[in-house]
Amino acid sequence: MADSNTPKPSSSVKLVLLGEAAVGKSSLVLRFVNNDFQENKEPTIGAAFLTQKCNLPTRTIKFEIWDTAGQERFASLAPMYYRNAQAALVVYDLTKPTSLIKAKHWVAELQRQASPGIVIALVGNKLDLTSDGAGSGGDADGAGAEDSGDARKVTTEEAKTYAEEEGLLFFETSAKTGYNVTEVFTAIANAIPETSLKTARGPGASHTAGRTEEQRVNLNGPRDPNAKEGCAC
Amino acid sequence: MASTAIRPSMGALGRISSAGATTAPRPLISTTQTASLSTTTALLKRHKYPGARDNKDYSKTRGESAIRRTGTRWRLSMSDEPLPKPVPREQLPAIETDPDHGLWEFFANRTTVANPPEEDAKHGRSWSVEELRHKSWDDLHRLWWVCVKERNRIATANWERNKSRLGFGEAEALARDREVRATMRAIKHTLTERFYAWEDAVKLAENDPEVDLTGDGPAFTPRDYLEEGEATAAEGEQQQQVAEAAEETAEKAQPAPAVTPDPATIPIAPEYDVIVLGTGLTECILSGVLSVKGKKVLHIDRNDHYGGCVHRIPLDPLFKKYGNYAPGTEPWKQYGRLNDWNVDLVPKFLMSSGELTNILVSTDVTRYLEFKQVAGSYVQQGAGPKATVAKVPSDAAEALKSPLMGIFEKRRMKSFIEWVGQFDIKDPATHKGLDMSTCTMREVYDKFGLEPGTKDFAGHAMALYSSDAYLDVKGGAPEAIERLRLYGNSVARYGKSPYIYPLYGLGELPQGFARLSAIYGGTYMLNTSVEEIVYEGEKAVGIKATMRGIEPEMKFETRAKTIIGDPSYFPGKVRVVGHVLRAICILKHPLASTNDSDSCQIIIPQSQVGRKNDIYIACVSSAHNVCPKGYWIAIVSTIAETSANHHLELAPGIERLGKIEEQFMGPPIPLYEPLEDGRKDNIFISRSYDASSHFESTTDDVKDIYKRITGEELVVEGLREGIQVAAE
Repeated sequence: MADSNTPKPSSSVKLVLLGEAAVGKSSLVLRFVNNDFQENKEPTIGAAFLTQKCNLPTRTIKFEIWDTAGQERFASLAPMYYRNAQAALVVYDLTKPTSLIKAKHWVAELQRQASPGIVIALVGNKLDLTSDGAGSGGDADGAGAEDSGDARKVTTEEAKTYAEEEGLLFFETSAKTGYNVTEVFTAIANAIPETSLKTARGPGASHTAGRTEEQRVNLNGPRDPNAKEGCAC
Repeated sequence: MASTAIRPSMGALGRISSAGATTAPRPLISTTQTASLSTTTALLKRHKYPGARDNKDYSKTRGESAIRRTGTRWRLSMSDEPLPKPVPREQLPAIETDPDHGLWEFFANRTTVANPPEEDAKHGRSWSVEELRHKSWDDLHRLWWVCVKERNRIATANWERNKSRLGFGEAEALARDREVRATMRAIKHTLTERFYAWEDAVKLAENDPEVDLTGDGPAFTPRDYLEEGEATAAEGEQQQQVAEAAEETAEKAQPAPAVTPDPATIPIAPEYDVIVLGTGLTECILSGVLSVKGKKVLHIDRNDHYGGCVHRIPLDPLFKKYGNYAPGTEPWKQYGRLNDWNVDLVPKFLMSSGELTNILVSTDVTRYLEFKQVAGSYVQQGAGPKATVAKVPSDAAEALKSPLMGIFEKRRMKSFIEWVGQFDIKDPATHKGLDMSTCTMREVYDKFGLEPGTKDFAGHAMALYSSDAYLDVKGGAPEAIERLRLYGNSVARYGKSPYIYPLYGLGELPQGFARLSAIYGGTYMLNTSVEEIVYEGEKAVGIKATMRGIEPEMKFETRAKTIIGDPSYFPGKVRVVGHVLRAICILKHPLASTNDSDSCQIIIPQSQVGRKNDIYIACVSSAHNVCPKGYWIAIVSTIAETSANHHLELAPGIERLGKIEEQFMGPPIPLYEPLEDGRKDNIFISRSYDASSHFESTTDDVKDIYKRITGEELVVEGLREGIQVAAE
C-alpha cells in the first residue's frame, strides 16, 4: 500500500459501520484512515463520510466509510444507512459480552435488509485491554487467553465459531495500538467480488454497483447556462 | 379466295380431323355462304378522306331486342363460377370470451337464457324495515346493489321469454320482482329514518356546550372531571421517581472507559437549544439546518421509524393499516418480497428546480440520495369515457404535436409562454400594459386571448394551482407567472418532465436530513413518546418523555428554549383546514395513454369533471425501487368537497387506472395548521402536507418556521460552506 500513483483500476465501495455504542467504531476508522496516509486531512465532526484508498495488487479500492454519527445510540439508525452498502464492519467490544449479542443482531439485520452480496466483517475491538493484545502480535487465536485474568470477556473461539457459521470475515483488533486494523480493510477489499465493482466516481456519485444509469439525475451537476427560461413549448 | 376457302391450311386441317368427321364439313359450307359476291371493297374498309364522318357503331345495345328475346350481348349468369362453400360450424375457431365478463351477471346461469318458472318461484320474502334498521351503512349499500343486479337478471329473462314467445313464466318473474322492489323500498325507508335522526342530532349538538360544530379545533371537548385531575397528579409523582432512578443508573453507567470520545456515548443532556418532535420532512429539514447552524438539537419521534406521514411503508403494514384483508389471511404474500415495497403515503414529486432541490444541493444531502426523473406530466381533457389524456408539452416539438390545443391556439400559447419567459416584475416594459399590482391572472389570459381549455392546463398542469380561485385574485398575476416560470425552468433542467423522485421513495428525504443533523451533533431518539410539555408561565421550556422498546423503559426530562413539532403532537394548538382524500392503488400495468411510462403524474383539472379541486394521480414503479418489477403504484388524491361518498369524488381519477390489483383508501385525512405562530409559547408547529403534487408549500413552511425561530431569513445558498468533507 506504499505507492498510490500506479494507474490501476479503481473502484469505490460503500462501507458502513455498525455495532453497539462505545465499542470503538469511529476510533477504528480514524486509525485506518489517518495511520500513515498524510495526504488525508484530519477528519472533523460533520464529515458526511470518510474516504480511504486501499491498494491491492490488481486494483485500487476506494472505501467510502459511513459512520453512524451517533444515530445507533437510541436505536434510530435509518434504513437508508445500509442501503446499497457493499461492505459492513460489525464491531463489538472484547470486554463486553452484551456488545457481541448486539453485533449478532446487526448481522441479522444486515442479512435481512442489505443488498444480497454484502461483505460483512465481524471485528472484536479493544484487544489492547486483554493480555494477548498489545505486544504478542500474530497469535490472536490463542485459546488460553480468557483464564489469564485480563479484561477479556468474549473468547476468540465463541466469536470465531459464530463468524464461520454466518460466513463472516473475523478479526480481533486494537484501534489504540493499530494492531490488525489495516488487515481488516485489506481483507474486506479482497473479499469484494470483482463483478460488483465499477469505476470510481466523485463523492456524491452513485454508490450502487451494476445498475443502469439511464434517467438517473445528478442534482449537483452544473445547470445548463443556456437553459431556456420559461416553458419550452 | 375460293381456293383458300376450299383448301384449309395445315393447322386448320389438324383441328378438323381432331374434332371428328361429322363436324368437319360445316365450316366449309358456312365459309362458302358468307363469301362476298361483290368484287368491290366493302364500304367500311374503304379509304376515308380526311374529315370523313366516323361511321363506327357506338350503340352498346345494337341487336338487342325484347321481342326477339335476344338477351343481352354479354353473359349475365355466373353459374359457371365455383361458389365458396361455407365453413362448417365445428371447424370455425372458437370465439374467445372473458369468463368473468361483466355481462354474465345479467344471466341467472350460463346455460339457459331464463330460469324455468319453478326456479323463479323459489324465493324468500323481502327484507323488512325492522330488520334493516340494525344493518350498517355498508351492508345496506351492498344489499341495494344485490337487489339492482337481481332486477337486471329478471328483466333480462323477461326480454328473452318475450323474444322466444315462450308464453310462460311471466307471473313467477313478476312475483319475484315484487319482493326485490319491496326490499329496495325498505332500504330507502331505513335511510330516510337515519337522515331524520341525524338532523335531530345536529339540532341537539348545536345547543350542547361540549360540542363545537364550527370545524375549528376539536369537535368534542369533554368537561373536566375531578377524577382525571387526581389521576394526572399521581402519575406525575410516579414519573418523577422513575426519572430519578433513571438518572442514577445513567450516572453509574457513565464512567465506562472509552478510547476516544464517541458521539454515541454522549448521554441525554439536561438542556438543548431545540427539541424537535416528529420526523416528518419539514421537521427533519429544520433539525438538519439548525444543526448545521450550530444549534444543539434533540429529535424525537413516537414511531420506531423515520418520516411520520411521508414515511414509506412496506406492504404488509399497508394492508393492516387499511384493513384490506380478512382476519387469518395474508394477501400480501402474493406480492413478492415485502422488503421490495416502499409505498409512500404522500403522493408528491420534487420540482427539479424547486426550493427543496436547492436545499438538498446546498446541504449536500444529495450524496445520500439518488434521484430519477419522472417520465412525464400529463393532463386530462374532458370527462368520463370521452376523456383524453395528453402530455403537458415539454419542448417545442411536443407542443406542435400536442392534442391539447388547436393550431391557432398553439400560436397564442407560444406568444404567451415567450412573454412569461421575458417577464420581469421590476421592468414595467415587460408588463404588456397591465398593472401588475392589481391585475388578475384572468386578465392576463384574456390579454393573450387564450381559450378556456388552455387556461385550464396552464393554470392547473403548469402553474399547479389546485382550484380556479387564483384566477380572480387581485394582483395575483405575478405569483402565477412565477409558478409558470418554475415549471418551465424545472422542465428545462432535465427535459421530459419537471419532476424528479428519489429512489426507494420519499421516505429517504427525511432520513437524509436526519443524517445531516446527526453528523452535526443532533441526537436522535425514535420510539419515544412525549408525556408532557413543561411550561413556565406561558412559555414552553422542556419536555417529559419515555423511550420505549428497551428494557427498562427510559424516562427522562430535558429542557429547551424552542420546541418544534408536527400537528399530531399538539392536538390542542392546531385547527383542521380541510380534508384530503387519498387512494393508494397497486397495478400490474402502466397508466393508459401515458406512453407506458415507468412514472408519471396526471392532473385532472377541476373544471373537466365538475369539481372545485383538481384530482392528482401520481404513479411510480419498479424503476424507482419502490416495488418489484411488473408493478405500478398509483396514488389518486384530491381535496374533499363533500362529507360522504368520498369514493365518488375520487372516481374520475380511479377510472383512469384500469384494472386495480389492490386499493387502499382510508377515511379522509385532516389537514392541520397551527393556531398561533409560536412566538408566544415557543412552540412552533408545522403544517400538514397539502394535496399538491410537489413540495413547494413544504419548503415555504420550513422557511417560515425558521424565520419565526431565529428572526432571520433562511438563506439556502451557501449552507454547505460550513460542511467539511474529508478530501481525498
